Amino acid sequence: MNKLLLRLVQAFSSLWRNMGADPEQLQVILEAKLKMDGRRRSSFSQLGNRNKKEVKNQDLMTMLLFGFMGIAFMFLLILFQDSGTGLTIYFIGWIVLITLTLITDFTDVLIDVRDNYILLPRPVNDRTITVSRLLHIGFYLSKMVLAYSVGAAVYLTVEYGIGGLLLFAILMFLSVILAVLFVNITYLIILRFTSPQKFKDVITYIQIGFTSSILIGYYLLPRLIDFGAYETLTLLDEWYAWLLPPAWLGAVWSLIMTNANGLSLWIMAVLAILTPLVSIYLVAKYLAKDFNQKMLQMGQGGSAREKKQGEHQQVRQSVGIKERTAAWLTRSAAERAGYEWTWSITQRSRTFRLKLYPLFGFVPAYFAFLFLNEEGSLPQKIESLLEGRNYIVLLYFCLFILTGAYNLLAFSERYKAAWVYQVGPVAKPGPIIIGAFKACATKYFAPFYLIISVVILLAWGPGAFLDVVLALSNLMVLGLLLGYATQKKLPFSQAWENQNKGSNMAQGFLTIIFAGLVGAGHYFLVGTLWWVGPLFLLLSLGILLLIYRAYYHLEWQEIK
Amino acid sequence: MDIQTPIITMRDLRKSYGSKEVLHGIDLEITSGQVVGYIGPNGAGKSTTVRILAGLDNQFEGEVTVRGKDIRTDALEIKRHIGYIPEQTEIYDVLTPREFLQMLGRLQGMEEELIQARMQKMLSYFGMDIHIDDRMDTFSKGMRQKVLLVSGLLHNPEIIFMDEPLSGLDANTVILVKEIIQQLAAQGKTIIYCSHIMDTVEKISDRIVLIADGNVVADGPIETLRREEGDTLEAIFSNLTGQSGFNEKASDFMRSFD
Repeated sequence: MNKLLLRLVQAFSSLWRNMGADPEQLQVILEAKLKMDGRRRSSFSQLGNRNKKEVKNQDLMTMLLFGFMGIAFMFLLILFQDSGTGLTIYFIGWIVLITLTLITDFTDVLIDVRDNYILLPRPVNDRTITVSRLLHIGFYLSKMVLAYSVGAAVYLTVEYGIGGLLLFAILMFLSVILAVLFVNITYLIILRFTSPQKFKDVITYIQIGFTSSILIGYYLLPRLIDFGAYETLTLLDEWYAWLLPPAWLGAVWSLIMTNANGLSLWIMAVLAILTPLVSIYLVAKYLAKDFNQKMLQMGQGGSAREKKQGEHQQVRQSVGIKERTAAWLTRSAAERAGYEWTWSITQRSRTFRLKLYPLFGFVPAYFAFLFLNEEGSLPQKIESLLEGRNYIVLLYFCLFILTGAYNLLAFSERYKAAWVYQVGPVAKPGPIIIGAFKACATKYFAPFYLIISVVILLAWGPGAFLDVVLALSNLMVLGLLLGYATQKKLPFSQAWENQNKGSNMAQGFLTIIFAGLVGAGHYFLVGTLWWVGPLFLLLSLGILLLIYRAYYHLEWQEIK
Repeated sequence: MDIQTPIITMRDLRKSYGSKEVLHGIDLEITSGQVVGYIGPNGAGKSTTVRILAGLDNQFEGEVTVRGKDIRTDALEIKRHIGYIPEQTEIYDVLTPREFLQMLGRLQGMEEELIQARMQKMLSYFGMDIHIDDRMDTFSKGMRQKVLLVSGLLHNPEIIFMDEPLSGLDANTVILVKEIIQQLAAQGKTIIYCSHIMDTVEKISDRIVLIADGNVVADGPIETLRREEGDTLEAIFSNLTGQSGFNEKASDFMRSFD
């Protein structure tokens, strides 16, 4: 596959030359980058394995996922009576999906500071590097395009013949260019207007925002929208269609395949074709200028003073809370060390934030997904939600935040620094791990639980107070229990690559089972007799103490 | 090129990060075939200067020419003649040394056969030929450094910038690299060598440039500096960077245990 792609690059040599890039160098850079892609995030790249096999399973799994998503979105084409509208929605799904993938998967490539030291000292011009980046992303996307579009391609060929298939292929191509340019322009604009040091932070928050909105959208939209009313919708007639690039693609389809007509459709169709071309020109001509130099600054000190001032402020603000809570919540030096390290390191770890923060959106969205009725208007749906004690489920959903954050704690980019645990005279690792657990519960779980509790008390009334307290105690028991059962690891001592997807799923499954069982006990028993709640709470606190002690006294030989 | 013609010139070179100026107007001329020991305390601006000379950073003020050409306008032409060994062992570590060096050789416009033959040979002198097809993400720091050294020399550059090139290397390799540097100099290569290891700098350099706080505070052959500033390069370094009284400082330090 890679060879085929490289031959394709060779075939367009004169085009690259006209764009100011060197075709031979382009070929060399792309060959290396494609090779690196094949080995990216593979288990083969870990220490102790020196073979040179390329792993393609990662690619295959992603393609399969895209294939399934494509088939799911294909049903929209069948659902909507107006094929232009169906295709617009199909392209909205596609562009969001591909943009998200592009940002999450390619951030490392686009801001790979190694390029600065490896490529910039060579006689390679900026244009060659920029074009190589664009092509590299293009190749990656083409694999995804194939997987995603198979379902729709089959349906459209059956329904509209070869002409439909050809037009769909052209529209897919344009949609990919639009997505790539959108991401590229976003990156370049951010680089223009922020300091290179802030760039990674901005990108992180964009990623978090995207991931959260996808999760929230996925669970919430089907409950908020009555799709039955939209079957006859003709989206392209709406005023806001102008603002949606996928609608431009839908307009091209409508004009050619459904004999629809009208000035707005024509204008949107022209936009669909002109925008990618004009954007490519603008990126290459203006925005790409100095891009590599900005990237270089990211690998260096950059605006040193600005960075230092920012860091001082940040540290000073958090030290107060960190130290105060550490003094209250920890009782030995080792425990305090575990607490403070966890507090500081998680705050500054980009990967940690990226993996954890979307969960904060997921928990309420998933709750709404489960408990909002499918029928009726939104106020009616909310009214029926507030009947009964459904909030108990929401309280137990908070376990995902606690275990989610705690499971991530074991991993770090700087996992080799874990020698610090071994070098000190620490009798048992238990206090360090308990310290880390407490920091995690205080910093990430407690504020979230507090907000959820306040919302519940406001919406359902003070009668929910005992439930809130009991659930808190139970969640601590469950968090510690799951940690003790599955996570006997020191904080920040494992490489992210070792984060095993299989054991993650097992942990997730255990979380659901345990939270489900305890939550069900809480839901059905508390309230039957007045003394059941307080007794449950006492029992819960007793178990909490026992598990806490067991975890606290964990020995070195029990550590993984 | 005439041996007396400056191959590198810097005129009033200034560089700022935000509002902080780190190079305050460096003026230097380096002639062809010189080995310049470019030394200074941490944060003095050594790596910044080298990055500018290697064409990695064009956001500076002043004038910099290499081989008579302006680094801002003729960077590509200049880069054909320079080798750069950065301070950080930045490599695409999921590649093998063969793949990595092949890519760099091709970017320098080298013939395929020459790349293969030369990389094999060069790696073998560092005992790395047996790892030529191993992925570099399994390599130690020293092994990566050896690949980096080869990457900077593979295309037989006329001017070589070395930023702490001995970092992480074992004692035997250090001796080998020092010998290689001396023989490169004997062949007429121009070498800018940044390091904190003073005895190495003293041994291989025929000219020392000492910078402190972004200014050149000493420039000349080691013999001249010895006569004027101190017996050893270490002493010269301390005198000129305003650091002295280490004995007292050490005693003060020891009193921290009281």
